[in-house]
Amino acid sequence: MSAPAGSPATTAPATPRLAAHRVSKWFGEVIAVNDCSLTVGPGVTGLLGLNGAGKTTLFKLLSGLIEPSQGRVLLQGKRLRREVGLFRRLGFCPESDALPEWLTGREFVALMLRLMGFGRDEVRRRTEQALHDLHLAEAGGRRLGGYSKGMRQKIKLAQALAHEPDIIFLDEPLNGMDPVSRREIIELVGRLGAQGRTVLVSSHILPEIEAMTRSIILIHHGKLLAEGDVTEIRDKIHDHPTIVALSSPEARRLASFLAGQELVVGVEIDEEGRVVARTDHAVDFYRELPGWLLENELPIEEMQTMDDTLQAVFDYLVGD
Amino acid sequence: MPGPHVAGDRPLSTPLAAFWIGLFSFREMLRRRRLIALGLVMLLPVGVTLLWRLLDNEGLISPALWLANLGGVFYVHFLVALVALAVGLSAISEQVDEGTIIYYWTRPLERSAIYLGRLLAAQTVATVLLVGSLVLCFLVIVAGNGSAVTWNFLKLYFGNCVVVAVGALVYTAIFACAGTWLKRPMLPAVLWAFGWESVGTSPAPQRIKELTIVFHLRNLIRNTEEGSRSFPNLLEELKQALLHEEPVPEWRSALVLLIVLAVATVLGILLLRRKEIFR
Repeated sequence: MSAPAGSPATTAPATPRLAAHRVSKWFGEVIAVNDCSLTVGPGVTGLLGLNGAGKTTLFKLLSGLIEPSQGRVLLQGKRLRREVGLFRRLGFCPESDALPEWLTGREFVALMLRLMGFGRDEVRRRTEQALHDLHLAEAGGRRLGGYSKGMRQKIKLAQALAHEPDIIFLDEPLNGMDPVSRREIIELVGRLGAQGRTVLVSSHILPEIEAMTRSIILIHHGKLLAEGDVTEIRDKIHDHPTIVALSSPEARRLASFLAGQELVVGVEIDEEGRVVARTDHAVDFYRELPGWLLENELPIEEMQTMDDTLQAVFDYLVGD
Repeated sequence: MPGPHVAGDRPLSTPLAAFWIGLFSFREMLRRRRLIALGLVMLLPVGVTLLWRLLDNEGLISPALWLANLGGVFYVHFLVALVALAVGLSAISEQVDEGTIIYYWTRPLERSAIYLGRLLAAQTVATVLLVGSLVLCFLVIVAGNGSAVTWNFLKLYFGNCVVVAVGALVYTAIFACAGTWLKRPMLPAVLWAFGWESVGTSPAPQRIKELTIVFHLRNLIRNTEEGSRSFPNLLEELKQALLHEEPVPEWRSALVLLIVLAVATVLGILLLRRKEIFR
């Protein structure tokens, strides 16, 4: 779970891909997920959606907890629900606060490891490691019924990660956590992604997702609205040109130059004296900009993309 | 770094998984508050037996007859169904309602192993409660009354224990299945256990009574020597004589109970396999 530096044994080899092929799920006449096809690869991916968008249903479909009404969810080409042994490769941290209250934290993690098939010594070692990594070693002997909300969240993470799964599902993982713990978990998630594990994080709190990853899956009204890197997705939203603010001691000259470029659809100077340019092709704009600045000897002190944020992308896509 | 004992993507073996789940479930069920209430109910026959020992100084009712009526009437007619209902109905449904079953469902476990583990734990709790209560009754019956401990009495006692245990297994399996199937199983379960099942102890035609569990349980106790003297058995013998009914052989009742146990268990497993939760 915590990766000692330079330790190849902790890197997940041949990370399996999780894929959904034309997956739909309906309940009576309500279609919760409608014909979604996607692939989740190594690294951290955020699953976003408003309440009622189908996010939770899609999350549960991908994690094998529910069966699709149509389509398939595959883990390395195998159907997840039909081969329960594949759950050995998965770690799942549910959103629900429900825990077996009468067990101690240590007993809970140990039981989960037993059910993964580990022997006694390995169960003991992994349990202590998981509790230590999530700063629960001292509380490991206390009953789960006496845990605070933050501790409950951590013990859920501990049972999800103790067996070092290749694919990890985290449903609202930062619920109830204090700021220090949130930072620790965000760093942990980042480490897991850097190890090559596939981490799917479901959350409706965009800054949390943004702190963990730039790769997202956006679902709205049961349909897949966007999938991929936030910047690339942003670049494809032509109805809302990307806004880039540049601070320069030669603002007027810079503005005049940019106004003549094909990639730029609008230029103005804001109240703070910054040159604000709008472009429909942000990726191309970023690629060309250094060359323009050098060739024309246009100095800039600072550059900021005003709406290349997850919030902006979300608002543009869902708001439309 | 050592990995799990089970290599590759094979699920944990059903017996091993059922064992671990059963062990933890048993410990969990012992902690439930309802067990205190059940424990008190289990002391009721013990108290009544104590009262009989204190009041029946002249030995109007022999220990064997007392035991036969206690086992054949109070336990089989009432207590077995009550305990099995209290323990079995929530064996699976409680974890589904609480949402904690998700932790089993995200392990490499067949759902049959999950169901069997929980069911075996519930059946163990029910059996321990019922047989434990019978043990206490036995101790009260024989305390200071060593002459009551004859071979026939012991046969009757162990026969009662076995039948009560079988009843616990069968009823718990039925209620666990009902709890898995229905969203609100309590009312149908109570109506069945204390409504329909009472047909099995009524003067109804034997063909109808054979459709109840309690009939077959009582049939297993009936054929012991002292058991045949119990009041319900006397009524049954009278009815059979009047209606020219053939008594059902013990083996047939045992087979029926075994089949019901198997069917209820398999059905429960199939229902759990199809179950989905969305919490």
